Amino acid sequence: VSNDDGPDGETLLHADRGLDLTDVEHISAGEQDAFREFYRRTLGTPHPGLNFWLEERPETLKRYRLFAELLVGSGGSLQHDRRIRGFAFMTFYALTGYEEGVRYLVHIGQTLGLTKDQVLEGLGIAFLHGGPRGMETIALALADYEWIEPERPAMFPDGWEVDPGAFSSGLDFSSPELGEEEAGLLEAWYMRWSGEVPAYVPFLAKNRPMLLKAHRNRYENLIRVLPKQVLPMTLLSFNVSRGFPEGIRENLLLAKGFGVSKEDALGEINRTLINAGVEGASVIDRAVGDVLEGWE
Amino acid sequence: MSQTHTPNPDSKYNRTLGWGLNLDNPEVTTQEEIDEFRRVSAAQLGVQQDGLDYWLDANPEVLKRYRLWADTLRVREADESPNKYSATGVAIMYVYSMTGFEQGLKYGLLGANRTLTREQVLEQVALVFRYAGPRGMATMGKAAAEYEWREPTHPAIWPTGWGPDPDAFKSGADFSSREASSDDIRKILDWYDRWLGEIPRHASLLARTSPDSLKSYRARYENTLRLLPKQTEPWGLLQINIQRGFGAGIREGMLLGRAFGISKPQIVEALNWGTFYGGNESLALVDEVAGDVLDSWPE
Repeated sequence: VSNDDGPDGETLLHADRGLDLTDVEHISAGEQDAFREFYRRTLGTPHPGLNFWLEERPETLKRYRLFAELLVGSGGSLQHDRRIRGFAFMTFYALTGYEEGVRYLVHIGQTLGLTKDQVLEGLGIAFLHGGPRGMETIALALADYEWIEPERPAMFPDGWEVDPGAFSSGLDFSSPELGEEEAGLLEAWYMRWSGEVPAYVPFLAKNRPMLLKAHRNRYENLIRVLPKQVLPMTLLSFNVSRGFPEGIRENLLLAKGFGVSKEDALGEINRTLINAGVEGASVIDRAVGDVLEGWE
Repeated sequence: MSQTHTPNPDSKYNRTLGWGLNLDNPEVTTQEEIDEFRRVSAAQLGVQQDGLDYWLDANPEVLKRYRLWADTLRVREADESPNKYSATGVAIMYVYSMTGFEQGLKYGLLGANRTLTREQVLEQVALVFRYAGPRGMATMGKAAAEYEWREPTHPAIWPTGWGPDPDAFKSGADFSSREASSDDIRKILDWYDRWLGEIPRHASLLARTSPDSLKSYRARYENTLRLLPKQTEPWGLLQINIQRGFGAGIREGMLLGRAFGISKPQIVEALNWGTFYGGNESLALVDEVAGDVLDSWPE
């Protein structure tokens, strides 16, 4: 895996995004220029929020970058690792109306090799929780976006594979009804991959079976050209950002069942703490502390 | 709407919310009241707030009942003053940042800079950044792009018992290296135990799974507040976590607030303002995760 080359064949990222993080209390004009250039080139646009600190209080920015780099570790830093693990932040940015953020996430994904079809699958995952409000942001963000045909394919962690069949529970979607036998098939699917059945599954099977089946009809047809692991990893990230323990548990268990490594899962969780706040890790401990303890 | 830097002659409105409306009579509003509200709004915010202005025309009764409610959130004590500092600006700035409300941030900067220096306001923004991340800072960066900083004419007065105390945040960890030694982690966890009487689960989890991340977070945490009162830290932590429904953050904010000397009336005001965007029902979570802390608070 090469982590050094950017989409245009040049070095993608400068050391520490142009900042000398060994000296957090000072900054040079050269560091400021390099940091701005990094974001302009990597995101395709300046980042006014981070640039704010370049001018006003660089120390705050440097301590943030130190924190962010260590949060990600080897699990997804743009600077050291070009492998894609999911569409982290996409739903969060869509729901908070952050058009520039959605646009630069797509741009980064494409510069890392994602095709338009792969990105559209990622946006489909975001639509699960983003709904019409989130899609409004996405549509506006990409209204005049020029899709790239990547020269090199995207890289994913070892062992990740395209496997749309993995999502198939055996439900017959030619009928909207969910019979008892199909409810059993669905519970068996969760047991096979996650080892437990989320509480909403039997609840909806009992009270709103057609709704559950319609949800599965969306869910089981989201991923066809992306590795299957991308789906639970993306939903894991979103549920960390909103502090939703049931969603964290379901998707961490599924990611584990799909063969995601503990290091990659922790990298994705940690990265999302940039949005969730560090105390969000308390929710993680409550939701999946037992899973993490027994996972080597 | 463009923002002006009109001097604010009505400091009496800094911490009251009637702004010329007769809140004792919600069902009847005169044109004179409406004109006065708009005049005060322009002086306080530099703009007409679009949402509030809407109700002036559509149904002033809704605005009056809202302002009656909001005016009760503040707990007024013997140290009441037009330029008394309120740390609630942290949580409100967080909401505005995360929801892309640039206009709100612009008038928030104007209001804060009325009593706080540029460096003090920047500390507040740095604290918000710890929660809001790049998404929130993107809004802030745009909102502040053309802001003209001023010297406050009436510097803030800290609430009774409050004051800057940067040393209170020091755990003793050695931040000259990125790697977290077992000694660094022990000192960080000891800091929580010393001030809170318990170790938050996020700290113990990160100590186990990502000690370097925990240490780098503490490097931010311990260097955020130097000029603003140390009580700003738990106040913001508490209110932001009330808004987003994170029980662990609520408990940590309550415990640290009590340890940092926030008084019972003051913490009640913090809880009240937490409902400003969290809704009254958010207090059920406060009671669940920190009711014992509030019940044992020194009177």
